[in-house]
Amino acid sequence: MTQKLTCRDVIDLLVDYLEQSLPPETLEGFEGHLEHCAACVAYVNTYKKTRELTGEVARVAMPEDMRARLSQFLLDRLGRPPA
Amino acid sequence: MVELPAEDRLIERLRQGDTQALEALMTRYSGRVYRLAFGITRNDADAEEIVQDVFLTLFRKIDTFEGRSALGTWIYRVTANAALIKRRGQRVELEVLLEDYLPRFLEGGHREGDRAFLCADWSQRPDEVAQGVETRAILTQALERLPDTYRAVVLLRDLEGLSNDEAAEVLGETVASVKSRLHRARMALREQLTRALT
Repeated sequence: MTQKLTCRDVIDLLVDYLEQSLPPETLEGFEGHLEHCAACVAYVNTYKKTRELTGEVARVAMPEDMRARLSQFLLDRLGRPPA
Repeated sequence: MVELPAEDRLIERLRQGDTQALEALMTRYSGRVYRLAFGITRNDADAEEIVQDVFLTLFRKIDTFEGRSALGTWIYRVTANAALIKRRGQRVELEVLLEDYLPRFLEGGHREGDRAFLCADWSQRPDEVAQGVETRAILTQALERLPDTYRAVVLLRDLEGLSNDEAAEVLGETVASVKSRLHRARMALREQLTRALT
C-alpha cells in the first residue's frame, strides 16, 4: 500500500532515496509526493546537485612537488629508495 | 601456486620490507590520501605531513593490518584520524551552526518559508551559473565552515564514494550516525548554495 508522505518525510528520506534503498511502498509514496509538490522537486534536485558539485570542488590534485618530497621523505626515514 | 590479487601481493611484499611495493601503493593511494587530508584540514602543510605519516605508518605497521577490512579502508581510517586530530589541536574557527541551514517545517509537514524561495531550483540553470566559479567558491567556503566531523563524512561519501558502512568503519561510528551527519551536512551546503544563487 502506497505511503502518503509529507514534505518533511520526503526530505528525511533523501539519503536512502538517492541510494535507491527505499522499500517499494515508500518509494511509491516518495515519487507520488513529488508529482504534486514543486517545492520538494526543487529540494531534491538542488540536494542532488549539491552532492555532485561537492565531489567536484573537493577533488583537488596532489601537487607534483609534494609527490617528489614524499618519495624523498620515505627515503630519508627508511634508509632505502622506495623505487 | 595460487595467483593472489595484485593488492594482496603488494601487502605481502610490504610485510617483507619491499619498498617497491610501498611505491606502488603510494602511486595508488597518495592522491586519495592527500585529497582527504586536505579536505579535512584545509591546509596544505598539514595535509603533506599527514600524507608522509600515513605511508610511513603503512610501511612500519603493515604487520598490524589483519586484512579484516580492505587496505583502502585502513588507509582512509589512518588519514581521517590524523586529520581530525590535527584540527582538534588548532584554534577553532567559526563553524556554521547547522541548525541555521536546516529546513523548518510547519504543522502538517510542509516546509516553512517564502514559496518562491522554496521552489527555487538552481540545479536546472545553465552550467555557467550552476557550476561557475562563484558557485564553486560559495560551496568551498560552505564546506570549510562545516564542523570537522561533518565535513569528514561528506568527503568520504560524496568525494571518495565510500558506502555508509565503509565510512562508518573509517570513522569508528555507527551507520546511523554517518547517515545523519551526511544528511545534515548536505542540507546545510544545499541551503547556503540556494541562498546565494536565488
